[in-house]
Amino acid sequence: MQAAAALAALVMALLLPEIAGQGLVFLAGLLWINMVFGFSWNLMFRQTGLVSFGHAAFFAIGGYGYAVLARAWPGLPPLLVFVAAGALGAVAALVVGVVALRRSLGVYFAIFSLALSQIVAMVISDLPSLGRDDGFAGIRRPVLDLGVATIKLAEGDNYYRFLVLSCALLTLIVWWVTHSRTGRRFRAVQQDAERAAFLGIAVARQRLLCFVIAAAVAAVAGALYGPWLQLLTPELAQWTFSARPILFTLLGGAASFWGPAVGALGFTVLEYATRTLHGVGEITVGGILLIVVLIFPGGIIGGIIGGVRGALGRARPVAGA
Amino acid sequence: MAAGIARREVMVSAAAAALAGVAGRSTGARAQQKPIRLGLITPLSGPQEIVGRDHLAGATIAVNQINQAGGVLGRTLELETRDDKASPAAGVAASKDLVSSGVNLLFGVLSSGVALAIAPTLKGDDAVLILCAASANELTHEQFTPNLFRASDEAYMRQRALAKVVAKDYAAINSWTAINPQTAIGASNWDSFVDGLNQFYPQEAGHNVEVIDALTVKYGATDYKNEIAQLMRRSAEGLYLGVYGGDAVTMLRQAAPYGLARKFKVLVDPGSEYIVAQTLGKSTPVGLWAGIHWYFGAYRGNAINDALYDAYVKSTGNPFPAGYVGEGHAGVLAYAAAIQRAGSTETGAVIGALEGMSFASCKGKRTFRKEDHQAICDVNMVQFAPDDTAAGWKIVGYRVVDGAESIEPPSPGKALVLNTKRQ
Repeated sequence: MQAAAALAALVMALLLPEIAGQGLVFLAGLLWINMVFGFSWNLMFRQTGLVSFGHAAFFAIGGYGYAVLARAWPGLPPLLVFVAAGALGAVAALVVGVVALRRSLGVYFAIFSLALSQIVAMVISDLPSLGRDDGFAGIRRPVLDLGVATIKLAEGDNYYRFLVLSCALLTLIVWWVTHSRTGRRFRAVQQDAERAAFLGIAVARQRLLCFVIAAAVAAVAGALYGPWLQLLTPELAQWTFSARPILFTLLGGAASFWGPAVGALGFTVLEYATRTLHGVGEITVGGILLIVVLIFPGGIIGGIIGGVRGALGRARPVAGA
Repeated sequence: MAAGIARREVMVSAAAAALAGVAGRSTGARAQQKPIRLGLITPLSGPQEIVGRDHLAGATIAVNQINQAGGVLGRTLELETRDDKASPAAGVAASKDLVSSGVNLLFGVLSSGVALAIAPTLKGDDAVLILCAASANELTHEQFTPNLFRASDEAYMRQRALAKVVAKDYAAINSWTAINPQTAIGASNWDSFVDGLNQFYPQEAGHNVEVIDALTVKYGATDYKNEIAQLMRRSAEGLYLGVYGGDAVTMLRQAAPYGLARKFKVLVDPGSEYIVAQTLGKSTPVGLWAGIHWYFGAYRGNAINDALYDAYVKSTGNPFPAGYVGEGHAGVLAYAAAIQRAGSTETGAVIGALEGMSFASCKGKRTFRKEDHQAICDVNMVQFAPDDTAAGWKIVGYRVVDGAESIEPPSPGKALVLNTKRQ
């Protein structure tokens, strides 16, 4: 049933430009990227219990990595550049994770990751070649040469559709990791690291692997973001941007794989609905989010499941976030 | 109402018609068709909201004035506003949201980052954007797009105009230095100012000027003591406060005990408008110059200026409208004139009308260059001093420089090349 719903959502996403205006299509593009960003954060949080306050660092590394590579070597196949951006995120996470995950977990790792993202933001702000605080402008949407056909992603809604398919593929990868044997090993580490180690699972290595995969996915999401907005700014690495996947996950429900997607959707809908309420829009959004979190500690999905169970007369406490 | 529209130069157009209405000579025309919707994109939340509100105030006054005079092409104007939160992504979302709701004529935008993000989307979305503050040179150079116009001054034009003023008024000064933020715009502003010093000192003062390397500090820094100590040791006589706005306030507060403002013969702030004086009050350095988009006091007697000033003071009670009020107002007047000239609100027709068009505004005539779509307009400066009023400050002088004297030749698609580079 989940597969059918996901497929239906994919078809609807691909058909959106036929029925909606440019404004909604642009926001939808940001939404799909935000969903993938949320999935990558929740892969760490839900599967291995790692809390990162600096996940935006990898998003920014992927975004800037893609932009620099595409500008320096315009002849490189774009798909290869997107993969390379993901690899950059993975390598950065590997280097950081080898040190950080051995020494720190929990709140220490969270603060460490926050510091990392601030360092990335400062480096971007200081490097003239990355546009400093003014931003990296003029990122072009590439031309895909598939051998049998050439697709200009700058034309019409081509880049949007490419974005949807890429985000779907990234979601599939995270889904596969979550539900594979690897994902179950991650889960074992999250539930009881000592017992997992006793069973022969290399706990530190599993945490590192999960961190690297999540960083790679976030980096590809960042790489997709660059040509969509055609501009990158250091804010992408700031803590405010790192807070987004956390917000999406807690709003949607951390206990469910689809939680970040539901949270990102809810947040985007709220922002769009209040876009003309100048001055009170943010208070309205914040107030509604507060109410949702207080009423549904398990997020929107947790609330829906609880509601359905209640309606069926089998009300049981819903697993919280 | 249409009598003054024939000539290509100095189009009196809808702006004057609006003021005719304000002055009591209303045409009595009633708009019978659907209103013409103009989309204002500006920060209406977050730290930049105060500037966005100024844009909105000026634009609202312009729309009311024009509607009272009978509108444009017999249609009223209507403002659609969107909050760009000074964030590029929110700016693009705002622009596309307006376009998809049928608004193709956009204006406003404070942040150059937001402008750089919206610019590449305009052609595909078949929309026009008139910038009313964003000053990055790239927007009319390497990032030029035919759908983008700038009604306000650009960084290079303003900095060189400031240099021209100091070369004339402070001819005895032989050396300059600066304290700048570590941003691309900070470096580019200073380079442009130096470019102006090197050109205008020999012309106006008859001698070359020494430029002592600028100090750079992190944008948003909170501790300037090291930099202040370094500045106190420098032999320079003129100080360029590249750290403007809130940063300049912080720095000047910390510098007061050292007597920094007295050490230098002149202090120039490229763009804080009234912010520094309004915040520092009685501690405002004597003789501080600040760049401003529009200083109402310089244009008394200009009907558009006076009507805007009166309307603003009447609605807010604030006797010092920020320059951004004038820019928001000018954005609407530019569209009114272009639509009148084009006889249409279609994107292509409006772009064609804007190219090379002159229009009257609160700071006199502005002309959009056909080549790069940059407006040639006046550059304004105001000078402050502390006083004994409740506000604690007053304006003791102002200067108006014709932008044509400080602007570079157009080179759309190519990066700006400075005449001279800093040593």
